[in-house]
Amino acid sequence: MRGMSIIVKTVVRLIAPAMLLVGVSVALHGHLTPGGGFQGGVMLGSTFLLLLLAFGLDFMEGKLGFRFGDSLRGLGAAMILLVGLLGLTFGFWFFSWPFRNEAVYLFGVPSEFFSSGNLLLYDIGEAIHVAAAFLIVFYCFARK
Amino acid sequence: MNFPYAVSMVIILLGLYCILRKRNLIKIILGMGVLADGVNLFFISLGYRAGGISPVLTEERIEHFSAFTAAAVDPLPQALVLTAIVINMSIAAFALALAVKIYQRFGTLDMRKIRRLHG
Amino acid sequence: MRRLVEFSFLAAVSFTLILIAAFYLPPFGAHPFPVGQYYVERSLEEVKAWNSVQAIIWEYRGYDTLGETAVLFAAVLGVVTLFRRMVKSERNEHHR
Repeated sequence: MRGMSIIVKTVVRLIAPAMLLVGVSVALHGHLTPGGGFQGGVMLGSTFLLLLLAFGLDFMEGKLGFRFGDSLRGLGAAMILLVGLLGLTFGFWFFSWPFRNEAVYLFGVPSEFFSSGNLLLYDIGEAIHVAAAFLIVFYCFARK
Repeated sequence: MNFPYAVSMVIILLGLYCILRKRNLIKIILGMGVLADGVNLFFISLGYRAGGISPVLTEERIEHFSAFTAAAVDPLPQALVLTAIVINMSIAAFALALAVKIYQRFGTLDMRKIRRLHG
Repeated sequence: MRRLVEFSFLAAVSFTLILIAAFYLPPFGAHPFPVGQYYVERSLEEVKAWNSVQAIIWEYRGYDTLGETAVLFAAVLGVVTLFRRMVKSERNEHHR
């Protein structure tokens, strides 16, 4: 798959950082504003699709390889599972957050960024997982 | 009259018609997407409340918390629909991959011809 | 012609059934499920999250979301497996 014309490349070069930034912001503020891990991950994945269509497969494979994306996908899924196992390790049930008193960093006052316990960690893991999954699927379809 | 429910059921029927009657595999996958969108729309409209606001807090909504809980729409169908959207996306990706492989092997996307080839 | 008649008959019957079913549902905007009210009221103090949808999908119903993640993982694994011959043949061409 080859890239597109110079006009498309210039516009995508302008737009893509803003799209990446919005995706990361939506994923990280999932516990405060509308959004969440999957939505932010979908935004990141569609940014990857835009870059893939505009610059071609060879450019994207040079920047973000297939193997790297695949291991990133596994990393996101493993992060969700490990944060879930954290609750089981510290004496609660699976998929719960064990540090439930106010003094601990990640479960403090609402409306702060580091506030609502495991939601932030789950959102980061889900965003990585979904974005890398989209990237892998688009690579597979672009190679044919 | 429950107009949104009827509209979402019509969308479900359109997707069902597209799955049952079309012969192109890509159109069948599109019909699956339309059917799932109808189901999601039905769920979301079940959780609506008259004059409702979104179930996300802000600073001013915390100050009037009882008014917020009296006016917020149901967040449970939204969460379920989010899960359903992810699963539909997975199904669409896998089905499109199968369609690509079928086209590479048989050279056609017509269901009847593929059924006749049986290889 | 006969196909058109059959199709219009089926469409009329199913549309009538839809209207009847929509008439028997609770009215639009009635907010029929009390469990959503519970989540809206409690998600601030129990999960400390402003977004109660996120509180539901990761805290109250976390197993659902774990299964969803597993489904996404398996589906992408299936896509990669379907296309794996392409990856291997590319590597063979590189060796040749």
